[in-house]
Amino acid sequence: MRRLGLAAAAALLGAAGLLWAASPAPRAKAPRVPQRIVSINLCADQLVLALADKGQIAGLTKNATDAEMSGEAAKAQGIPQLSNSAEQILAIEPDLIVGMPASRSAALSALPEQTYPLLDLDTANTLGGIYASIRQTAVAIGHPERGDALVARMEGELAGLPKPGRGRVAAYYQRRGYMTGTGTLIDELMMRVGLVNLAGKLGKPPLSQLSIEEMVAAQPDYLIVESATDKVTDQGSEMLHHPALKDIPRISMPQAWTVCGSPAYTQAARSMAAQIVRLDGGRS
Amino acid sequence: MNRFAPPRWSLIAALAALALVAAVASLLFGAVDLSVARLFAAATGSGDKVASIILFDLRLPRTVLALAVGAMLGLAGAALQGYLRNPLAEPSVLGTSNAAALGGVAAIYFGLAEIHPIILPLLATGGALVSLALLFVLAGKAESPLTLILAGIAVGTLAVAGTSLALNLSPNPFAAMEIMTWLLGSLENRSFDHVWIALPCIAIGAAMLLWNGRALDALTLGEDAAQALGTDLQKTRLRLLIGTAIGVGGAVAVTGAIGFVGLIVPHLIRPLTDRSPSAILLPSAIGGAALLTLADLGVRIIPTTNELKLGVVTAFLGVPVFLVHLMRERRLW
Amino acid sequence: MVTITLKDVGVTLGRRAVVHGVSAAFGVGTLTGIVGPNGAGKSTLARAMLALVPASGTVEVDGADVAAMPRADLARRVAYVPQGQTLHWPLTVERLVGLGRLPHLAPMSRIADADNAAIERAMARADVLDLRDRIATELSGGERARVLFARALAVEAPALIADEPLASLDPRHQIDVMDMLHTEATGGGLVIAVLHDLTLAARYCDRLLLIDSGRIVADGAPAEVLTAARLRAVYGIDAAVETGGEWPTITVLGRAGG
Repeated sequence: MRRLGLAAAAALLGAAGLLWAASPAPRAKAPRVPQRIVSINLCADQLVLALADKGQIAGLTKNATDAEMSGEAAKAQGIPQLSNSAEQILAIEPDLIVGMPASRSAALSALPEQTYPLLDLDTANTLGGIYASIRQTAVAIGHPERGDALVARMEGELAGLPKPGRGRVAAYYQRRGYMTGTGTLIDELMMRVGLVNLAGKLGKPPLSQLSIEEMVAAQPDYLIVESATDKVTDQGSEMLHHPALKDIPRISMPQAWTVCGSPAYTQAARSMAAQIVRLDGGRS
Repeated sequence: MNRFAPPRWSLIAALAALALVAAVASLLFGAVDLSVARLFAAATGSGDKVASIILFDLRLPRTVLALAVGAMLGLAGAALQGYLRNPLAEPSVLGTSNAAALGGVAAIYFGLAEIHPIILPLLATGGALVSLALLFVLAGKAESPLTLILAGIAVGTLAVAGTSLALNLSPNPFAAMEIMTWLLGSLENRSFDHVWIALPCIAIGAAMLLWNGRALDALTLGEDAAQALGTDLQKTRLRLLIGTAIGVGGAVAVTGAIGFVGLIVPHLIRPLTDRSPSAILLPSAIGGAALLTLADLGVRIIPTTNELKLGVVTAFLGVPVFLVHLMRERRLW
Repeated sequence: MVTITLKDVGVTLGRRAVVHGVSAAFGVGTLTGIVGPNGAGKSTLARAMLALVPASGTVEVDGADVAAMPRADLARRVAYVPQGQTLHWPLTVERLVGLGRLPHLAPMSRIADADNAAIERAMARADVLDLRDRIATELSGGERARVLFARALAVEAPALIADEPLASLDPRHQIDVMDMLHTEATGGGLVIAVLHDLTLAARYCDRLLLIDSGRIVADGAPAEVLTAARLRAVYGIDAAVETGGEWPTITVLGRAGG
């Protein structure tokens, strides 16, 4: 009778032990002011660079210093750039990992036993989304007041923005004829300056391809192009320089300001408005 | 055995008519539906702005290029087949088109083409020249078609690997997609700038190849007999090499490597002629123009989400021709 | 009237000297046969006469060095029937024979009436008129040999060199071809033929050049050249040579003893 009882107890203990070992360990909580922040996404880079002290940042993505793609490229100088490698993350021992999202990163899934604190940000498709990401990040890095300040600054910069678009039609035309549709950040930028998105008019999805013939037939009032395509470096960019499109006025934007939901949004909006005004002046 | 071979001039006239019909159709069809009336008005100068731009800036250069490039590829195939005495020879099978594409890629992706517009066709021609010279060294004297095709595969594969490497090394992040358009070929979005690059090269190349008719006929009897009939084989080989390189180089610089036109067209035309190599040259040029224009029309009419690449269509037409040759006996060409 | 003169002609292929120091003169009205064992250099000598291989010494046609002569000029003076029956494309017989007119066509011109007449004559002389619409690649060996001969005749050159024209022909067709060669010679042409068959060479040729290891071993009438002693020395065979009839007959008895 006693032996049975001992055996049962041992079995129970053993089972409990197995259960305890199998369940994932809870994530550690981030320190109030993290000192070894790692960002694993270009857009997260922008937010971290804008809000954290340089000394807090231990790693950014490879494109962080590329001025074409990263709005905060200047601030990123001198900070180590990581290449999606689990080893590098292990070596740093981050106390906060920021990503979009962070929890599904391939590098992290190679380190399942590690329990670094994560911050999952959502991709921002609206200005409201940008503000939310800014506040979230500011809190996580230990400087919530900076988040509020940045949002206030952006609101101020956008407050007096004119709407020179006056309902005219514009198309965001990328290399190889890809066109950005509604429900995107670009779309919101266009609306903010008073432009109507051609893709919305034609009922196209968020990303579609439009041939030059179709673009000519649509005759939008403006073409918005990425400044990187001003130079012909391949067939994709060559297409945007086709003579058939030469009569349509162009607005040029660096990808760095539009590809991520970041503080650069206001620069993009101001530049777009200014270019419209300039083109109008030239045309009348 | 009686053989149906229409008189030479009626064959050429018929092919020219086919090319003309294809060209007109190419002007009438496109991504945007334009009525014949609108297009006609635009053509006569009284049309609306959209129709004029589409007709003159987009469809016209595309059609001109389809005709010119098709003609060059058809002619190059016929000339190479005549010279190498091999019905399977043509620029893409021999790796020449891919080598020209490598030259073009090097020019554009490393910024060399910006120095001067002539650098693009120059490098494409250079690529073609090197590949042809290599081919002649490896298999120019081979009696067996197999040796030649194998050498062509070797050269072509080398060129494709080189192209992939070049694109990988280039600072361009969109390399993978660009590789595909270069190696499959396309006429989409071409402008008159491209026409002015390709047309002079094609004109020079075509002239040099058409000059060789007699030499190719004499080669029917073998190299010794041909020389004994007065053919200068060295000059013939040089004209052929340089003519093909310049013509195919100029074409590929603008459209990428479009394959099989030079294989299909002479094969289809040969039974309608007296089968001598010289008789096939001009009809192959015109037939090639018609074929490529029709294929390009097909690319625009067949509804697909992504643009169907021209090289895919010509490959689908060309592979059966290859297979037919494999299965038939030699005598029956 | 045409003459071909060889002065100390030598040919080196790779590192081997295939022909050395060959000197001879040829004139019209004679069918000269070049005979000798395999690898003696007969074909190479024939090709050297047409400037198809680089050669030391001089080959002169009508006193002019062939190495310096434009190919078209040489082509109009000396017609050539090469070894093998190479034919790459399935042309009709008439078209094929027409290729013989190429040396006479001006750069951008097409075939004219004069050329058509020459083609007709050539086909008649080679007895292939009834084959004119047939596809040349579908003919039998004998028919093809005659057609290729017609092609050479169409050049209407005063001289003709044929390299092993009897290869893979049956006896009847061999005789046909030799007859044609002989007729050409007696009609006032200069004809040289590289031959394997000693009997036919002895029967039809007016003159024989016996070549061994790239040198001329004997040069003269068949009866003088084809002696048993020479045959033993050059071919390594024992043969009985009968000189009683119109032409010497050679019966091969076996390998030379020892």
